[in-house]
Amino acid sequence: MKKLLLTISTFLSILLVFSSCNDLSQNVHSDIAEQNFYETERQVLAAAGPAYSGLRTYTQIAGIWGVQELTTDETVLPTRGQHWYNDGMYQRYQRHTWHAEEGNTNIAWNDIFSGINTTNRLLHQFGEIEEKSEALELITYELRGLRAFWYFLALDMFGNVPLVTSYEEADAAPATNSRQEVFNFVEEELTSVIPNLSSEVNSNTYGRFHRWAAYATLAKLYLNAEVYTGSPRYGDALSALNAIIDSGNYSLEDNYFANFAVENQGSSENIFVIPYDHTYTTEWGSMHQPHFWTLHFVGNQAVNMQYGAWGGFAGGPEFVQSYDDADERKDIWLTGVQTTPAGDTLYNNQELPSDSALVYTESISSLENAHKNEGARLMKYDYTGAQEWSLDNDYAIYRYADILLMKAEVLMRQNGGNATSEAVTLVNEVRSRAFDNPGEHMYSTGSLTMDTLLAERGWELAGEAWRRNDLVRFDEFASGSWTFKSPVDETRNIFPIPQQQINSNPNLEQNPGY
Amino acid sequence: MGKRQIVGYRQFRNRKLVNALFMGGLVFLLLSMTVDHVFAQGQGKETIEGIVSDASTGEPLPGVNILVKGTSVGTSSNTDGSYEVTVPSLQDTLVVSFVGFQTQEVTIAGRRTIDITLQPQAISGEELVVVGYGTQTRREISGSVSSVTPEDFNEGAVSNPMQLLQGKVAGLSVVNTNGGDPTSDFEVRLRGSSSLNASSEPLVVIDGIPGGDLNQLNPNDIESIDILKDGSAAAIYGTRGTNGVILVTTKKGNAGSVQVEYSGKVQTQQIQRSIDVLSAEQYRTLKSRLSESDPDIASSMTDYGASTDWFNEVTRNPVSNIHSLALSGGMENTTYRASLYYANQQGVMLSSGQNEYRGNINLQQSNLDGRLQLDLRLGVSDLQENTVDYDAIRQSIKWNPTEPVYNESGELNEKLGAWQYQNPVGVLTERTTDDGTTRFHGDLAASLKVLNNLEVTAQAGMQSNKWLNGYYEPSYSYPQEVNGTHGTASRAAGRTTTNTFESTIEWSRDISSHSVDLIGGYSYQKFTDEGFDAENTEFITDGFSYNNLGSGSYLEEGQAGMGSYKTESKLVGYFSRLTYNFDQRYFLSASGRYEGSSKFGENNKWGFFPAVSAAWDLSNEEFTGLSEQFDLFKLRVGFGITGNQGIDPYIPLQRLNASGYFYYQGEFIPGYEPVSNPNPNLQWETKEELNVGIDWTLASGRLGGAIEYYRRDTKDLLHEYDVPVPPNLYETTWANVGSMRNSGFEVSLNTVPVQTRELNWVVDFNIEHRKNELLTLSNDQYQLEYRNEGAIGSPGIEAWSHRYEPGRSIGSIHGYRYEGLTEDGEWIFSDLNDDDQYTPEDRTYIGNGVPDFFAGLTSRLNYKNWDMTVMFRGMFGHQVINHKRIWYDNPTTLPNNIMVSAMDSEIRDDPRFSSLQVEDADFVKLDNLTLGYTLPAEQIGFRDARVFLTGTNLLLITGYSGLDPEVATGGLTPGLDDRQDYPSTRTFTLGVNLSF
Repeated sequence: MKKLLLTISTFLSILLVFSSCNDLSQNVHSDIAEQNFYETERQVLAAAGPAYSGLRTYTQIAGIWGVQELTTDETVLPTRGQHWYNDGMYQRYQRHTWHAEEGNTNIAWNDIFSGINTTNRLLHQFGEIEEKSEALELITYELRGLRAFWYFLALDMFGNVPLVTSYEEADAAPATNSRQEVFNFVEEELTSVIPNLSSEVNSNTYGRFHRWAAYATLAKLYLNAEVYTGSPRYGDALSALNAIIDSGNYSLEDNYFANFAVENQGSSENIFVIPYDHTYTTEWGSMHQPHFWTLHFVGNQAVNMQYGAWGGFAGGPEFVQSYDDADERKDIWLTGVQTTPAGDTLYNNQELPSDSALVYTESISSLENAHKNEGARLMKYDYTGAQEWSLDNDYAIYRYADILLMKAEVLMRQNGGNATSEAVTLVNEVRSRAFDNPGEHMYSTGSLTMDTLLAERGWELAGEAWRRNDLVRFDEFASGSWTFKSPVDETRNIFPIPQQQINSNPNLEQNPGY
Repeated sequence: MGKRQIVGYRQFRNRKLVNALFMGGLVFLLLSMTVDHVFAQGQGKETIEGIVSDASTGEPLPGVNILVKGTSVGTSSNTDGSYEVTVPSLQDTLVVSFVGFQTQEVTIAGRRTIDITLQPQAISGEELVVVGYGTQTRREISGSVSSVTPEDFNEGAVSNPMQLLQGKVAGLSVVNTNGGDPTSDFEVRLRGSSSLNASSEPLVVIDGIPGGDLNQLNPNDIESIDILKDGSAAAIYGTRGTNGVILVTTKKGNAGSVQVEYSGKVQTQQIQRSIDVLSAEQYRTLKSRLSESDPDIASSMTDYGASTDWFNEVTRNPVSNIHSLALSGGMENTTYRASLYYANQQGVMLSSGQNEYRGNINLQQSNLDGRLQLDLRLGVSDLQENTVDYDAIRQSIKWNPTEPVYNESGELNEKLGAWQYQNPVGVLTERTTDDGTTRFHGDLAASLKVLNNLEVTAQAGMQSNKWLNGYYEPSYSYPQEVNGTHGTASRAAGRTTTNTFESTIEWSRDISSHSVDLIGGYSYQKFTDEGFDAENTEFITDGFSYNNLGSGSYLEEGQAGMGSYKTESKLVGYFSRLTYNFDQRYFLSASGRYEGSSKFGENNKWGFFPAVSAAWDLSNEEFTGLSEQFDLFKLRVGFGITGNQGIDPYIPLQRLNASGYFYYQGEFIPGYEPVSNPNPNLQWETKEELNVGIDWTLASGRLGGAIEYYRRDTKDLLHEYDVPVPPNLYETTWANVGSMRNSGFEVSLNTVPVQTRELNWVVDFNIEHRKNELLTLSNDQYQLEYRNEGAIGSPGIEAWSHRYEPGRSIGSIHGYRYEGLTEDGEWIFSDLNDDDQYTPEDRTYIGNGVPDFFAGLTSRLNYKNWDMTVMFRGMFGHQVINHKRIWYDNPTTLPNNIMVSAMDSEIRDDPRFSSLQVEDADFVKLDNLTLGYTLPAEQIGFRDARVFLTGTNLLLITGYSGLDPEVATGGLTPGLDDRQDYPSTRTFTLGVNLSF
């Protein structure tokens, strides 16, 4: 009996002790709870990282770059047998018959607005830090500059978008602002941060949103002001361009291709770049991958690229044929028989007889059913020896050649669309390096027209994602026609607000015509 | 001495059998058994004899256990039901027990001849059913609970206990989602899926420990499986009761000499259906035919001169074997059961298979005159799996049949650079996948009768799963050659741990016709998940495989990945249940569980989950007149609220993690960013379920059944919502918004059409109907009209496969409606918005992957020593996307191989997904056919001996043209018969069960 009582009391005490725990606090192990971060300078800088790593989404073919490029005469992604049909999306991009649910348009939107939100978030979080180091102060201005850059892209592509400038006080479902309002915001922000941004051009500011990146963005904004707001701002564009030119920080490279080399950090011409590295920049959806998207499946062997390519987009046939044959810039388009660096011929596989040599053609027989070898392949950035999934080549958003051509355009537009001698000098400066005997190929005030300027911009800047912007400004985008494209309604000059976005935010207003 | 000689003879016979058939290690056990046996019998003083028979039929019952109460002395009845037992005293009591019958105690009271009749359990409604924190008699149960005992289990080479239940329980679907892959699990659903994104898996409770892993059990150790189907029954498990509860009780030892049970099975498999693609000869014929009409295509079709049946090349006739050995016994106060299980299973696809050991021990100790009962359970298992890449099947379809498997130099024939085109044999043989898992579970339970009607219990347990996986791709394998690298190896290791503590206090009282039982309890569980993984590439030799990860060069160069993680969550619950019955006529049960989960937001961690149910047994009411025919006629109604917390931990918190490197002042440095949108308001998903049912049996149990209707409404569905960025960090946020309704009825019927001395025939049938409707996905804050799910895949098709939308049921297949072909062989789909082009607006609902009806039919026939079991299983009313047909039933896929049906196809357009490939998938399978013969055990020295032959999946009746219409029915994209799958097989198993 004593034993029984002892057992009972022990048992009940154990129960009582063990049954009293009701603590449900969470221990986080492999993430960091936010309140425990931002304690050291290193952590603060690390927190700023996403603002820049997010910029890498800019070169996505299934995203911003692709939507800007594959909708123009410069590049096209034809359906190749069973490949690249993608429910007709790429055909519709080329024909300008896209609808509001295209996946890649939505990706572009998401990349832009994630960038905006990240800068808003960091501005808020850094604002909470009381004693800011100099480095942090500078980054805060860069964040505002980056946000303005993202909004510039948003207004360029989508026109009317919600303007959200605060992280803490943002509406749950922000409403659409007009293109004019977004324009004003971008202008005000850039002009306000420019004095505070670094004016140095060295390894400390490489890949950062410095003063010249801000001026270049401002110049693009003013150059297109008539498209964006109805009122031209060429004088302001000229001041912004002159600020860059007069700074003396940039000059044209002797060799056009030096700007796109594998190790192109030393380029004196690249103004605002996105640094890539096959070891460090490895997140899917933000790598530099034109080589995968354009080369034929076995075309990787021509450039000693490690992995097989995907055989997608090619140069627009008319566009590729429009180059002067002596123009070295045409070499960005791979055509003809493909061989390995050792000179061994590459062969087709799969849909063409496997004993036939792989030949890239300039022409493309059909947008709906092209052979896998058809179309010239873009190799502006050097793909040689590409390892892993990302190129090492840093991507240039703004180049000095573009600045010079923009200035020429501004001068001509201020002169009623006619060339001035300064404009001719500027364009020839850019054009001359592309020819062995430049003398024969130079423009005069007579031969440099708005049409030839547009063409020249195309040859110089092909594959740099400015073609759509240019065509719209020259009124050749929606109303233009080329191999696979007939004129469409002007509402196609901007993209629709993605339906996916409207589904999650009913306050968004769809653009006219969609 | 004479007895000893007989035993010696038995021993010799046994040994011979065992040696001949199975393993030599048994001899030792056998010896010990024999000695024990003799020793036990030598104690006897008086001999008692008699015959044991079935009370309902008068048939003699062989194999019945007869034990002298409180001792280990006992015997079992012979084939003619007769028994003889030597007892210490004629004043003792005999305990007579047999599976499927009520255990009976018989006082000897000086008699020397005692004939015993046993009452079958199924009839009376008195058999005990485990209901979660207790047991009730079948009659007392007022919720929806089904029980399955070993005699109803499916036979064959069973490794996963859920296979035992396939087709047996109305409302429980156990679906083979990956054909014959031995490394694949089953999809288990009770009454369908009642959640969108949170878990839909039922909770498994093994011997009282919630969250058990069925794969740790030896199927032969299972005593019973009880299934809590409705909310009123499951609510005692509050938080995880939403998807129903499967309670598994394992066998315990009985006092007495050691009993040995051995079961051995050898199995082989055969492909059920293969894919009808062009043979090499047909390919050549087509090439020459097309050289006139379509020279472009014909010229791309290269004849490499060989004739290869690729499907045949990647499959084989596998042999598997499964052995189980269990020992049980004990003394008056201590009993044990220990079992060993070994399975070596080969899959029908090359290189796939697994090898597993499981060991389990149950120990029971009774102290303080039975007031204190201690139960110890320990189990370990070791599993080695070789999983394979199902892409081999797709490659076997598309590979040119004129290609040889090996080239002239004897190496695998590969086409480097071809898009997604690699030798199917290489996919299976030129990779090493060794996944090892060690499971451990142990728990100690104690129950103490503080007073005669007051019992306190405590149970503490620990389960851990540790895995160590290895993968190696040798330098000569296709992906390495394509990438120009020399070997990729990876290892992953990790551990999940569950710590459990539960305690209860139970008071019960019978006062005249009133019977009351009140239980209260506490439950604590902590779940930890942690792991590590690393990979490396570029090795100097293939000889290391994955065993020398550091010797590769990629890790050092920063090009290979390495990582580790750890998460944990906790559940704390307080629960109580009151059961009351009046005169075995009115039954009432009410329960509540107040439970908190660490996974939810700060203010919403705790939830209350009440339930109430009542039943009325009309057969015990005089006025109804039902007592004449019916043994049981019970009306039941129950209502219960349960919760679901099956989501990742930490979602409500704002967390940061590495976001990739960025370039900062001349170097790349790591960045940090938020992981997800935090939602501090995240809370329980709750489900309210109403259940009504009737249970009835008549004609002494020869006819019985149940009818149920349920309606379950899930509210505050845990779902990821699309939200705008900004202000949110990411495009999706977890929130509790939508609601959905599941309803259905279940009918089960158990009959014994023939029951004679020599012939016994039992037929069980069950059918259920399920209906799902998504009610809403929006509230004031979050709006969602619909969501598209699934991806048809490449090349060329950017289409979702499913859509869910309020007013529709989950699993709706969404795509173009096929109307025909133009003269040029181009697609004609329904142009729903008449805009002369095919846009996403033209896609519509073209099927649903969730069956409306599930049915199972089992017939068990016993004739003398022979038995035959036939089990049919079917699903009806659903559609399946025949994914393979999208590409391979289309001649534009040439020069890749195509299906024979595409040879004369009129299609000249690229593959598109439409209703053309969505097929009705109703099917009936002859799922199990078992023929058994029970040997005259006594004559050869066994307590029980049976040999059997089982065939599974022998017959498939369906209009579906693909390999197998049985594909996943759960999740958001059910009904997809993928082109990358594992073929279904027929299996043939030869087995033997011995016990002595």
